[in-house]
Amino acid sequence: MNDLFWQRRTLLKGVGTALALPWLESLVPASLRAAEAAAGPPRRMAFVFFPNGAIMDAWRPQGEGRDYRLGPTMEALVPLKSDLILFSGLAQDNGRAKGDGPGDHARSASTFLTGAHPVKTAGSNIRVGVSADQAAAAQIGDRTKLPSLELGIERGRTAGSCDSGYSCAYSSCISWKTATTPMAKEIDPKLVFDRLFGSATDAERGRAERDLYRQSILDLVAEDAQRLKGQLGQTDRRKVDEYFTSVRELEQRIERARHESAKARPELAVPDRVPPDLREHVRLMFDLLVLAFQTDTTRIATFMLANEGSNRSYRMVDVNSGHHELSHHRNDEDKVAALARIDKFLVGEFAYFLERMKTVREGQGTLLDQSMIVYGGSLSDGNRHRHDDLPIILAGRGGGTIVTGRHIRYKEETPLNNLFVSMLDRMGAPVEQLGDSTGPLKELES
Amino acid sequence: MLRRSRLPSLPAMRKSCLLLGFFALAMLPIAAGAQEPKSPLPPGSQPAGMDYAREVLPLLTKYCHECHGARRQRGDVALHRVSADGSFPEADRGTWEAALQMLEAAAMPPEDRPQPSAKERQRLVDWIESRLFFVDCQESNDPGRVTIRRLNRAEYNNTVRDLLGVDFRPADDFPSDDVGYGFDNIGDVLSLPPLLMEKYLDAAEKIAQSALAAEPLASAPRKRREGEDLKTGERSRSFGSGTFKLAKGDPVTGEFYFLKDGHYLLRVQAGSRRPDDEPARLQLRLDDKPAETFDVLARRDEMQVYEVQIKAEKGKRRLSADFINGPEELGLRNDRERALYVNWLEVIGPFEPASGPEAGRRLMVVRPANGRSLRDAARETLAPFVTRAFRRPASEEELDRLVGLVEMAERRGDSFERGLRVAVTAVLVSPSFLFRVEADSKPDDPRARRPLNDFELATRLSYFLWSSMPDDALFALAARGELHKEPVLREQVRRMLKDSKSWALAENFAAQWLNLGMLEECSPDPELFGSFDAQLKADMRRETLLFFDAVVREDRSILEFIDGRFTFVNERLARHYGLSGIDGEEFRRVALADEGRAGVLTHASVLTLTSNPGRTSPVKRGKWIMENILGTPPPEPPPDVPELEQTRRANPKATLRQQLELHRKDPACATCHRQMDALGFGFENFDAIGRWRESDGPAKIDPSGTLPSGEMFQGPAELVRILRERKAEISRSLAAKLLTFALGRGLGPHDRCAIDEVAKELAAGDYRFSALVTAIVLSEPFRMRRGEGDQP
Repeated sequence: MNDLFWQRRTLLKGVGTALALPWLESLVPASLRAAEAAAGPPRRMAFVFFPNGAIMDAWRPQGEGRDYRLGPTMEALVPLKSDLILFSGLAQDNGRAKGDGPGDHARSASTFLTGAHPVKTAGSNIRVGVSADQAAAAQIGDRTKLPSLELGIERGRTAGSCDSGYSCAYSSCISWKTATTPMAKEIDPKLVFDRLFGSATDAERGRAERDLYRQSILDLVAEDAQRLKGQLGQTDRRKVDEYFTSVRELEQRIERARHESAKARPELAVPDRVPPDLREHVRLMFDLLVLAFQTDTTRIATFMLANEGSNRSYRMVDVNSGHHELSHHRNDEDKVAALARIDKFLVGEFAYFLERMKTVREGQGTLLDQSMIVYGGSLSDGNRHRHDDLPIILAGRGGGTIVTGRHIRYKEETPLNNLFVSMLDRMGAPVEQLGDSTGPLKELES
Repeated sequence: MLRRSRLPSLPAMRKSCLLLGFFALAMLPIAAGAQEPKSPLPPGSQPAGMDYAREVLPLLTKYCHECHGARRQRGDVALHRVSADGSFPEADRGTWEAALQMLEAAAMPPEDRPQPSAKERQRLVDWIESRLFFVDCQESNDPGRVTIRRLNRAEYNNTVRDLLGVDFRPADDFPSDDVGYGFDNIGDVLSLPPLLMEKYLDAAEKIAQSALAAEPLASAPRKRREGEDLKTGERSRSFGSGTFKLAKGDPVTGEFYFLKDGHYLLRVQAGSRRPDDEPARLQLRLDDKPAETFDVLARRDEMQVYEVQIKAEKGKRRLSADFINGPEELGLRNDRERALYVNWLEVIGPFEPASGPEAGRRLMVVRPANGRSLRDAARETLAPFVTRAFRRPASEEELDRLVGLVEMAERRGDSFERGLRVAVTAVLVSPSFLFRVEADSKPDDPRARRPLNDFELATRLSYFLWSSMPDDALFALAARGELHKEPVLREQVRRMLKDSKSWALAENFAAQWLNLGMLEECSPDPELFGSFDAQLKADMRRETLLFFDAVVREDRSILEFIDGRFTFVNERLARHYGLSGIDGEEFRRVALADEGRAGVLTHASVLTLTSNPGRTSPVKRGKWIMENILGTPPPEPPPDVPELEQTRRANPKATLRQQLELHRKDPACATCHRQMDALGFGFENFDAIGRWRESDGPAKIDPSGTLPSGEMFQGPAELVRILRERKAEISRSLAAKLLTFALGRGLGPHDRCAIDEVAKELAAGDYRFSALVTAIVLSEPFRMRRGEGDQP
C-alpha cells in the first residue's frame, strides 16, 4: 500500500467509514486475466471535464516538444510530467454561436465530446451529436459489465433555463448516447458503488433468482413498449424507443452477468450520502473510477467536475464568489488570481487521480499506462467565451501506443475531435469521422 | 395577442446594446420560462384590424426610421423595408423579432429621442406581433400535441406514495430531470437513459417488496359470507350458483362478529347488467347505516370486488348490500332491465391501518384459498392495482400476462407473495406506468383532433395540481364518464386546490416559476453575511412556498403575489426580517405592517437568489422581474463589454448606482438598462440576503427611480404598487407559465388564443387563483389533443 492510499483511508474516517483493502488480484475477473495473457490488458479511456474556461496564462506550458516547462496551474502534475501530453491549438469550433446568439456555456459542454453544433432549443428538439465515449461504448461496451460510466459532482439544474434559451441537458451532460439522448450522470458515490458492484443486499438475496425474474419482467415490459408504439406519434415513438433500448441494455447486462462468476465485492466503504466537502466528494468519485477500471467493470468513463456555467464557490482555496461569475473577470487582477486558484485546485485533484491510476499494476506497467485520460474543457478564455486553443491534457500511454512527456502545439483551429478519433482507434472502436473531425492526430506516436 | 418574449437569437441590434457587464455578465442564467416559438404568418393572410399605412407607418417614421430607415441603418437594423400592405421580407423576420423585444422592454427608442406614448408603443407591439405570429382565434383549432411524458422525480415519488403508500421517496436517487421551458415536466425533454432504467428497476423491486411486506391486511382476520350464510327477503332472488340477483329495498345480508373496536374493511363482490348509461348502484350498509355507495360497472361474468374501509365497534353486526337504483320487482326474463348481482360479502379486520395518505389504498392481497385458484387470486389482487397504476382500466390481456408472472413463480416453487412481487415490479417498470400515455388512433395525422378521454383528463388534472396520480374520486368520475363535463371539471378544480396535495403546486410549479432552485447555488460571502447558513436558506424557500400555497388554498388574487401584505416566518426568519415576538422553528402567518415588505419581490428568497455572493445586483433583480413577473425578458447580454471596464477604471470610487448611471450615459447601454436598472434599484433597501437596510457602507441608499413609462417611485412600496397595476402583463405571463407547466410542453403560436382566453377569464374572476386554474383546465390545449406533424 502506498502512502496516498493510507492518507485517503484516514480521510474517509472523517465521514464515518472504514475502507478495507480493495486492491486484490482476485478482483480482476478471470476473463480479464485470460485476455491479458493473450493480448495484453485492455485499454481504458476517460474524459474529465471542467467548466468556465481557464486562466490560460497560468495554464500554458512554456516551450514545445519534450523540452517544456509546466505552467503554474500544473504544479501538482510535475511528478507526472512524463505521463502527459499537453496540447495547444485544439478547438471546438461548433461551440461558437454560428448565428445562434448567446449560450456559449451550453455549447461548451455539449460540444466538448461531440464536436457537433447543438440545436438551440429549450426543449422540443434537443439534438447535438454522439459523444466520443459513447462512440466507443457502442462498439466495445458489451465487453464489460457497464458499457460506460458517467460521473459528476453537480446535479443538473432544476430551475430556470441554463443558458440563454438552451435546455439544461446541454450544460449538464457531456456524454450523448445518440444525438438526442444525453446520458444522465451519477453524483452520489454510494450509488456509483452499488451500480458497479451491486448493493450489499443483492448478495444476500440471491442474485441468480433475482436476475431470472428480472429477465422475465424486462421481457414483458419490452413487449409492452412494442405494443404501445402502434398508438403513438413519431416523437412519442422515439421516447418509447429510448425506453426500449434502455430495457434491452439492461437485459444484455443481466445476460452477461450470468456468464461471469460471482465477483468479489470490493470492500470500499462509501459514505451514505454525498460528502458535503467538495474535495472529499471529488476524490471519492476518482477512487470509484479507478476501481471501475481496475476491476474491468467498464473501460469507458466521463466525469464532470462541475456543470458548465457552474457558479459554485471554492472556499478551500479562498474563493467565495461564484466560479461562473468570476470567469467574466474582464482582467480584474483579483478575479484572475481567484480563477487561477480554482484551476490549480481542480488540476490538483486530477493529479490525485493519476497517482492512483499509477499505483495499480497491470501487465508490465500500470493501469495508467493502459489508459487514455483526457482532462480539459471546451472554453479557453471564459471571459470572452473562446472555443479555440482549448486547455487539454492527455494522460496515459494508451497501452504503449502514445509517446508521452511532450507539449504538442497544433495549428490553430485543429479540431479537438481529431484527438478523440485517434483515441477511438486505440480503443479498438474506430470511427471514420466523429463530429467535425478531419483525421487522427498522427503526432501522438512520436 | 400574446406578449412575446425570449427570442432564439438576436441579430445585429444587440451589437448596439452594450450591457453593463460588470453586473449583467455576472448574472446567472435566469429562466427563460414559458416562451413561445415563432410561426410564420400564413401567406396571403392579413391580420385584422390594423391599417399599416394609416396607423403604423407614421409611428415607425416618427420614432424609428431616423436611425433604422432608408438613410441610416444603425446596428444594421432597417425597419423601412415594408410594403404598402404591411408585409416585410422573410429575411427581416429576425430584425423585427428583435425590434419587438426592444419595444416591449422599453429599450427603444433611446432615452434621448422622442418617446412614443404608451398607446403608441402598444400599437407598434401589436402590429409587429400580428405580422410575426398571426393566429386567427376564430379559425384556429389547433390544441397542440403533448409528447408522451415520463414521470419526473417529484411525480414518481408522489405517485408511488399514493399508489402503494410508499413514502421513502425512491426517486431522490434518480438522476435529475432536465429542464425545458423553465420546468422539469416537459415531455420532449425528459429522456430515459439506461442509468435511469436501472434505477427504475431497483426502485420497483424495493417498492414491491415494501408494499407487500407492509400489507396490514395480509394478517388480519377475514370472514366471508356466501351462499346459504347470506339472506334476502322475498323480492331478491338467489341462484343455485350462489349468486344473488337483487331488487331495490331487499338487500342481501350477512351477520358478522366484529372482534373489537377498530378498523375494518367491508367488501362485496358484485357485477351488473346495464341497458343504458346509468350504472347499477350498490349501497353497503352496516346495521342499516349506509357505509358506501358504489357504481358497479363490472359485468356479471367478470364480477369485481368493491370495498370500503370503516371504523366499527365491537359486537355482532349485519352487513348488507342494496341495489338502490334497481327495480323493486324483478321481471322474470327481462334482459333490458338494469340488474345487480352479488356473490359474497366479506369483512376483514380489525387491522391497524398504515399511516400516510390514502393508506387504505395499499395493495390489497387476495390470497388463493377455498376454491379460489391462484390465477383468480392473482387477478383479483392485480386488477384494481394495475388500473390505478396505469391510470386507466387494465386490459384483459395485460392482466393475463402479469398473472403469468405469478404463475411462473409458483412453478418455480416460490410463494404467492413472491410471485405478486414480481408482477408488481413489472407494473412499476412498465411503460404504461412510467409514461403518461395518451394513445391515439391516428397518431400521425395532425388533423386528427380529439377530446381527451376521461381517464386521460383525470391524469392531466391530477399531475397538474397534485403532481401525482388521480385519486378515487377522479377515477370514479372518469369511470362514470362524467369528468369531462364543464361543471364537473370546475367542481373538481375547486376540490383539488383545497386538498393538501395541492402543496405540490407550490413545490413544483412555484419553486420553478420563481427560480427558487437557484437558491441552492447561492453562497453569500460568509465574511459579509455571517448569519446566512443552510438553515436560513431552507427557511427562505419555505416562506415563499407557504405564501404561494396560501394564495392557492385560500383562493386569493394572483396580484397578491406582487403585493400580499402577509407572509410566513419562523423565529430565525423573523429575526432576519427584524420582526419580533416569533419563537421556535414552526412557521406561522404574520401580517406585514411595515410598508417596505409586500409580495414575493420582497421575500428573502427572491432577493438572495438575484444577488451576487458579495452584494446586491440591481440588474439581476430587474431582469428577474421582467422575466418572471412581467413576461418581457430583456435581450441577452453580449459576452464581453469593454466599455464598462472603461467606466469602472475611470471612476474607481463611484458607488454602484453612480457607476451604473455613468454607464447609462452611453445611449447604447441605456437602451437595455433603463427598465432593468430602475426596477432593480427600487429594491436596493434590501441587501444581498434580503435584509432591510438604509445605507450601503457609508452611502445612503436611494431607492427612488423612474420607469421608462414615466412612472416615478420613492422606494420599494411605491414600486410594488406600480407593478401591481400591470395586471395584464402579470396575468398573461403567469398564465403562459402555468399553462406550460400544466401541459408539459413549450407553447406555440397556436396557444395564443388560449392564453388570451385564460387572461380574460382571470380578470373576470377577480384574478383569483382558482379562476386561472379553471380557465386553463377548460382551455382547448388542456382538454384536447391531435396527431403529430405540422398542421397543414
